[in-house]
Amino acid sequence: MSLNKKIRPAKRLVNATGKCAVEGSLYGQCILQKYATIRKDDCAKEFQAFQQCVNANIAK
Amino acid sequence: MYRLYGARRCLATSAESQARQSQFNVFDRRAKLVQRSRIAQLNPQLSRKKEYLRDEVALKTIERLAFITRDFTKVLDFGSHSGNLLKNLTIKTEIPVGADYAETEITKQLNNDKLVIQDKIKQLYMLDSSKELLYRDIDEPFNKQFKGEVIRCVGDEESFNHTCLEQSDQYDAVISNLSLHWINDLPGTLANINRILKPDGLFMGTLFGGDTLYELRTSLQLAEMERKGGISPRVSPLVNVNDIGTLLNRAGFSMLTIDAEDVVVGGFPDIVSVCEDLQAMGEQNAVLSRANTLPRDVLLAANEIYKSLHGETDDKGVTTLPVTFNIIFMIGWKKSDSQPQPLARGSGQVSLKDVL
Repeated sequence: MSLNKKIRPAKRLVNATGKCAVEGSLYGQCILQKYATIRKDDCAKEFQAFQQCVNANIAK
Repeated sequence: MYRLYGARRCLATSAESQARQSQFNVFDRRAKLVQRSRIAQLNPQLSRKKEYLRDEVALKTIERLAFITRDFTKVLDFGSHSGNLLKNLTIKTEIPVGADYAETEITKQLNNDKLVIQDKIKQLYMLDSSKELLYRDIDEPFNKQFKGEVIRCVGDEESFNHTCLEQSDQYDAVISNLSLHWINDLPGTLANINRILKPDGLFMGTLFGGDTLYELRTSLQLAEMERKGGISPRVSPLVNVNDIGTLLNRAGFSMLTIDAEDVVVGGFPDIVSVCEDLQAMGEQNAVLSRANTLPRDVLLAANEIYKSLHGETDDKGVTTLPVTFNIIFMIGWKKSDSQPQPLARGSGQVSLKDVL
């Protein structure tokens, strides 16, 4: 078995984010605003929207 | 998809239980050995391709060695990896296409330096813990170009029990490139390097400093904090440049020269490519208390945070990720009576007041 012959699951996941750039950057911007005092689920709403988009794309 | 994921996981090295390890141990050296050997064995081409950083540092070491007008009859490359120093010493650097006058002259000087240093080294000992890496390039033509003798020793860098390392005061110079950052007992290893050097012998080393991979470190921390509410060690703790002086002094080196340089590698499309490159270098996570998996949501979040915080967007609107490697260069000399010593306090004859 050699490395890098098949697409790894992590790579496939990240590839699926390509069509979700808008949602992704909204999440990124949210973190950027709050990074000094970040807490759990601070950007949960943005992340939900982003993950839904990714899941929709990976299923295709 | 999950079955495939399971097959992939068998390639991962699992973290050992912490209880069996000494309290000072941070790195899992057994896992590190497996990680470094595996890539050299499974995919040597990829392993060679991803050594750009080691080749670059080897060239910088050659430049620095050329400034030292000394004989290096017997030299040890400590943690030699696949022998990047030997490779870069013997292979001529091509003058880049479209190079200006300065670049051409620098390359010529570098090639000249290579020849000078090659002539000086009569015996080059290369020590590395990974047999697969050390012998990976043994059939490459550059091995034959080297005029001196090359001796390969497979031995652990930390336990220091190989016959190549037994005798004290034996090496004229010890060189160590990008290997010491996986050593748990750094003071002890440096003291051992000092021991095997001849008096007034040279130690020239490079080490990843504290700012290395700061983009990856911060993105993963923020992502894990926001998604899970806590962080786990995904990137190794590294030595700060301010501590190197103390470390070298404690190990018995004098006349130190320490400087640091940031090498930024850009153009990565996403966080997975960054990790794949690190893995191909054999530099993936081997902290003892590491988590064995990276959850999907943390990976997704970290990728977006990396892009937003550190991404570089070009004119076409494509965002790529940069990776910073903070490289610390250190030079130290083993203490000897023949070295220039400061005069005793109060022995000055001239008053500074009269001069100024």
